[in-house]
Amino acid sequence: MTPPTVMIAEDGDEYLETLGRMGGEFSWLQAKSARVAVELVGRHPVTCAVLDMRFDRVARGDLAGDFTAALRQVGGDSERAWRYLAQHQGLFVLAALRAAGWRGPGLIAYDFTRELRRFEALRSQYAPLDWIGDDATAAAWRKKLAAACGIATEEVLS
Amino acid sequence: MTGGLVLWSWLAVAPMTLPDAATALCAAVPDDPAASRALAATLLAKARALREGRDMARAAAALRLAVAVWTKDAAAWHELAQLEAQLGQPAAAEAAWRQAVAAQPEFALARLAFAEWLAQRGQGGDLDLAAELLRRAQREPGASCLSARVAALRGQCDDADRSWQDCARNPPRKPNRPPVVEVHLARGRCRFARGQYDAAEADWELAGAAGADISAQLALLAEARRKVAVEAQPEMRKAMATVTELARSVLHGLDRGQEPPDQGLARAVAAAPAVGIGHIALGELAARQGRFDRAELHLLRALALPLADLDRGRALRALARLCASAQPAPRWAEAAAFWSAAAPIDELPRADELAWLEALRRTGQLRAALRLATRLLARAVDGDDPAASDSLRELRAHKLALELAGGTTIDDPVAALPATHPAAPIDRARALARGDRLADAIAVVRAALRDGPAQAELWRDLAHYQRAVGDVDASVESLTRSLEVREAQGPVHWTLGRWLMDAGDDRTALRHVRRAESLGVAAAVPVAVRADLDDRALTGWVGRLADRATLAALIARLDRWEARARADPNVADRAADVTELRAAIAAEQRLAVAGQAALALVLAAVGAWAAWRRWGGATLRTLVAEHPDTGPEVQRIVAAVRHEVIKHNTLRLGAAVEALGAGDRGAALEIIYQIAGRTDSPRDKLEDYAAQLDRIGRARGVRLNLRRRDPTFAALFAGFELLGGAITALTRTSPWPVERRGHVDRRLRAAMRMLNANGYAATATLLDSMRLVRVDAVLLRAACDQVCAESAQASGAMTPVALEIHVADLWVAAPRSALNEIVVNLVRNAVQATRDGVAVTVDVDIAPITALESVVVAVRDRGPPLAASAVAQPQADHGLGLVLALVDRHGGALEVTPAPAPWTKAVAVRLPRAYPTAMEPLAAL
Repeated sequence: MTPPTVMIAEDGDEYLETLGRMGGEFSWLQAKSARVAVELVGRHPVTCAVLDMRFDRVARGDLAGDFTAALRQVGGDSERAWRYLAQHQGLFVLAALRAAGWRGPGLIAYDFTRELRRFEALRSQYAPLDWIGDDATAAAWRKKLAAACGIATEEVLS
Repeated sequence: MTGGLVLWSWLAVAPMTLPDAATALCAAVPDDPAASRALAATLLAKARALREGRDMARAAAALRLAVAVWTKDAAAWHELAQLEAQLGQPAAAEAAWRQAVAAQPEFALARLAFAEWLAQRGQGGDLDLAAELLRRAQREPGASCLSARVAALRGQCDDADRSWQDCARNPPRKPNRPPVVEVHLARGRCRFARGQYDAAEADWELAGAAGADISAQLALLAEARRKVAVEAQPEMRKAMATVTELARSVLHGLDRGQEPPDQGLARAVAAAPAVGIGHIALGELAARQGRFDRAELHLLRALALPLADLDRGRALRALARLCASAQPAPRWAEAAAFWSAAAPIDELPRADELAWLEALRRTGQLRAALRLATRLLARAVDGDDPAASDSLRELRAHKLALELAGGTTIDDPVAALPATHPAAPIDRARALARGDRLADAIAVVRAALRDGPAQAELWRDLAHYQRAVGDVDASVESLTRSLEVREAQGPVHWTLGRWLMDAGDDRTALRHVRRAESLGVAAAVPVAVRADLDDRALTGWVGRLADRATLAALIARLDRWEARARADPNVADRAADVTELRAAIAAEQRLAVAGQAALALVLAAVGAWAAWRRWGGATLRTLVAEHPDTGPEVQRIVAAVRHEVIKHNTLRLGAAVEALGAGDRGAALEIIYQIAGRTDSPRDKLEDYAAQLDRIGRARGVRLNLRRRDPTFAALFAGFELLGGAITALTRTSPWPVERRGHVDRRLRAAMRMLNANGYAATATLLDSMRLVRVDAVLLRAACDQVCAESAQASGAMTPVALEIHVADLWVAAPRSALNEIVVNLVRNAVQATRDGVAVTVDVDIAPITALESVVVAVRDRGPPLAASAVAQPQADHGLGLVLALVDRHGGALEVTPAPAPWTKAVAVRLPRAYPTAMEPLAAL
């Protein structure tokens, strides 16, 4: 049986390195920009996507999102606008994926514990969607990925 | 002559029974010089043969016969003297040497041997006589070396140095080399007594290099130097100056026949016990008051301390007078010794000289007494000293008596026994001693000790007899032997302690005094307590302050002594000493209490300062609470910490634990290095952010203590510390046993808990705790009312302000004052633009992609539109500039938009929405 393909969208390699140690129950793809992510979902049967939230190690040209709208959002300060795009880039990547027609489950690596209202708004916009906090253990990751990819937890753990 | 020949023949072939031989010889040898000389020669040859056969006792007997037959043979006398000395007969030896020197004054060998023996014995006038003998034998090899030693022993250090130089130029022959060691020892002692410790050390080290055991001397040096160090302290110098001044004043009063009060002096001496002149003054004062024991102790103590020559002479004279007037019986030998020591230092008063003469007579030092009497008489006759003429008759009587008594030395104590005498040696000796025949008593006791088993009582009595004849060193040795036979003799320990004090060996003396106290000798208690108190003064001020238990123990000992004193009047004699001691201890106790209190204060202050350094300081929450303007920056940094430091750690550490469990130590180490070991690791970032926060705090006068007090950073730093330890354990090249793996595993799990559970929770809590303010009607109405009041006061007209809040329970992360300032400025601008009314609305805006919520406070008016430049670069004095700055600081934005009729424009402020509680129920949506 072919393992489910998980696409990781991140600005570094941390998630790929650490999640990649889980073994062969998943196959992994990595995208460091929204553009690459859209290309990957076009070329590969991506089962689900893991989305890092903050992309502050990529070139500004690779950041997705409407800069003008961001500029308006932050009161006209371009630096703050770029920072706004970088700090929420995971959501812009997800928006780009949805705009490209990909409807797979997304797993945002961000702690929404204190922003549940905001996450509900996001889920209503980009469902199917879940999140996982920064303090999650490997077991928690396995469980979340298994749920997102639609496979039983026992199967993953085995 | 026939009888003499018979005896001669008999002596040649048979062993002698000496008493019988002596009797027979005296009867047989007539006044025939040739026969006498021949017989003496035969006896001398026989004695030498016996001596070579190691039969010393019989050799001595033969020699005694030889010199009895022919008295002019200086060599025979000299040989006899050597044998007597070897046999422990000092009186006989001295008499024989005197005969040898008298028979042949230029007989240098006898002079040197006699002088050396006298120097070895070192009693009262021995050294003077030794010096006199050596003056006439200076050309002999080794004489200068011996002179150096004798001069050093007499305290004439410079003479000793000169003689030593001669000795170096004219070294002794090989057999005389061992005394060179003695010279170094004596010179060292001389320099030591003068307080020239470096010179003394050099001499003693020379002696040590020559094979002598100088450990005792080096210990003395160390002790003396420690005392000097104590004396060098400024407080001690001041106390010592006070003692010197008071003591001089007291002594001056005593010299004029007055008796000044001693309270001030006693207290001063207690504070500075190492000032000799103070003890001299106290000693003389006590002697005048009839407190002899106390006087003796003070004077002996003074002699053990560095003193000027004149002061030393004064102490010696006072001690001599004390001994001469001691009760129940005068201690003539000690008195004579003290006067002999005092005489070379300073001229003795007439009364002292006469008393000295008496002491010399009483102790059997007849030749010394005769020399002194002759000198005194000559001075009195010459009229040099008018006072001497008063005692001219007395001196003449002395001289006559001495001349009559001269040469009456009893060589054979056994023969001199009384006709009826007790059988037991100890009783016989006591009977002889009562008859003032101390030399005989000594001989009897020595014989008993040679013949029978060692008895403590015999050694003790022997010591007392030796002491009485002035043989101080031998008396100390005998008492020590008595204690070796039976140690638990309290009175003997007490006596030995006092004698050793007299000899200057305070350390050993005090050991015996303390032992005497432990064996129940009450008289020893005050002395031992005083010594303990003095010792305590040398322990350093910290020890003195800290040790109150010792003082309490001293008081307890004095209490026990007083209980004994009530029943024993002899003991009660020292009551004054005890009172003084109690006062000194009480002063020490007060000092200790005050010192401990001061020490406690200092320690408390230091501890508080250290605790403040370690555990004091502020947390981030305190910083933000006291300086709200730091909130946004602190929030930014803490958010960055959460993102850059905490993120990924759980997964990475989990992988490290798994690698470790699989036995892949390298992989585990690599992962942990990524987190806590390498440059630019999360750990480095944490340090950087902590440094940034410290700078922010310092800029506002706040010392942050992130590592220990701030829950967020403390948890994170602790976690990284654990990881550092894990790295250390993993990098060891030693084998990797299971228990070590378990240890590292536990450490990693603890680090995970600290970094990802505790650290993460604390970070979230901190971010939550940043100051939030509710954007509610109360705050907005207050701001509007403030502007309306200003406007009414300025123009007399009230502009209506409408307030619309579309979403309840809205919070923003900004100080209340900042939000108030924003609203006031926006409303003020609007009111100034139009008098037709203003509307303030509060709403929520959700960003399209990120779903971030913003609280939008919009102020609508009917005034003219604002120029673009007024919004892009507003002037601070216009109000809009201040608003823009505040909004920018708190992550918000300012925008001006057209507003639907009846309004013309809306100036809106957009601030990020905050949530006061972490788990807001979803049902509230």
